[in-house]
Amino acid sequence: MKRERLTQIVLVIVGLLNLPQIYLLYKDLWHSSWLLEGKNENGPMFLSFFIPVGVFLLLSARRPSEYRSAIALAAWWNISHGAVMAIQTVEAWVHGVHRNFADVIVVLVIGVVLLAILPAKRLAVAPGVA
Amino acid sequence: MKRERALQVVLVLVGLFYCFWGYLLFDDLWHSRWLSGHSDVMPMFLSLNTALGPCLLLAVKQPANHRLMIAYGAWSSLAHAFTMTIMSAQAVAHGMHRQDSPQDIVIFVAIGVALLALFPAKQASPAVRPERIVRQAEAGTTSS
Repeated sequence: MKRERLTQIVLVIVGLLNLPQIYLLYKDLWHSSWLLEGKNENGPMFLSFFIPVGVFLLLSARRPSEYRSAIALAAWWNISHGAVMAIQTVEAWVHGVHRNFADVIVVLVIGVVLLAILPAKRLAVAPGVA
Repeated sequence: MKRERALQVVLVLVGLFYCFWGYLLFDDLWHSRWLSGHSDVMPMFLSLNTALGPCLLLAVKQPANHRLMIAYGAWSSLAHAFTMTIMSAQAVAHGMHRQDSPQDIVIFVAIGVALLALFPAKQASPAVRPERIVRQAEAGTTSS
C-alpha cells in the first residue's frame, strides 16, 4: 500500500514536470519564433511529445498497476532520451564544444526512478475466486 | 476478433515504422552529424519515437492489456501532427514551404486515427487486487 502511494506521488510529480513544456511549445509557436528566430523546426515537434506524456502519467497515477506498460514506456522514453543526450555531450566535448550535462542526469534519474517504482505484474485471478 | 487482428496489424506496422527512426537516430549521431548541422534537438526528438516503436511491438500480443500505451501512441502522433500543421501554416503565412509538408502531417494523423479507431475495449473482468483475492479466498475457505 505504501509502495503504491509512493508510485502515485512520483507519477504525479513527473507528470506535472512534463506539463510546463506546453509553455515552451507555446513560446516557440507564438509569432512563428521557431521559423523567424531559431530556424529550428525540430524544437516544437520535440516539445509536443512532452504534453501527452505528462497527461498520461497523471492518468496512470489513479491506478498504477493497471497502467504498468504506460509507466514502463515513460521510463524507457526518458532513459533513451538521457542516453542520446549523454552521447551528444561526449561528442560535443570531443569536438571542443561545451554541452551542459545536467539535463542528462535529470532525465536519466527520472527514467530510473520510474523503472524502480514500476508496479508488479498483476496476478492471474484464480478461477472461482473472483 | 477481426478488430483485434486489425489492431495487431496496425501496431506491428506503426511499431516497425517508429523502430526505423532508430536508424535515423544512429545516422544523426554517427560522426557527430547533429553537431555539424547545429541541431541538438534532432537526435533527442528521434530518440522519443524510437523508444515508442519497441513498446508498441510489445503491445501486439495482448493489446487489451496495454490500452494506455496504445492511447499514448495515438495521442503523441496526433500532437505531433497538430504541431506540424501549425508550423506549416506559419511557414505558408511567411511565404515559405515546410519540407515534407503536408505528407508528414497526413502520415501522423493516419497513425493516430487508426490507433484510436481500433482502440481495444476494456477487459470484461474487472481488475482484482491480489490482496483482495487472498482475502476473498480466505473468506471462502472459512465460510465453507
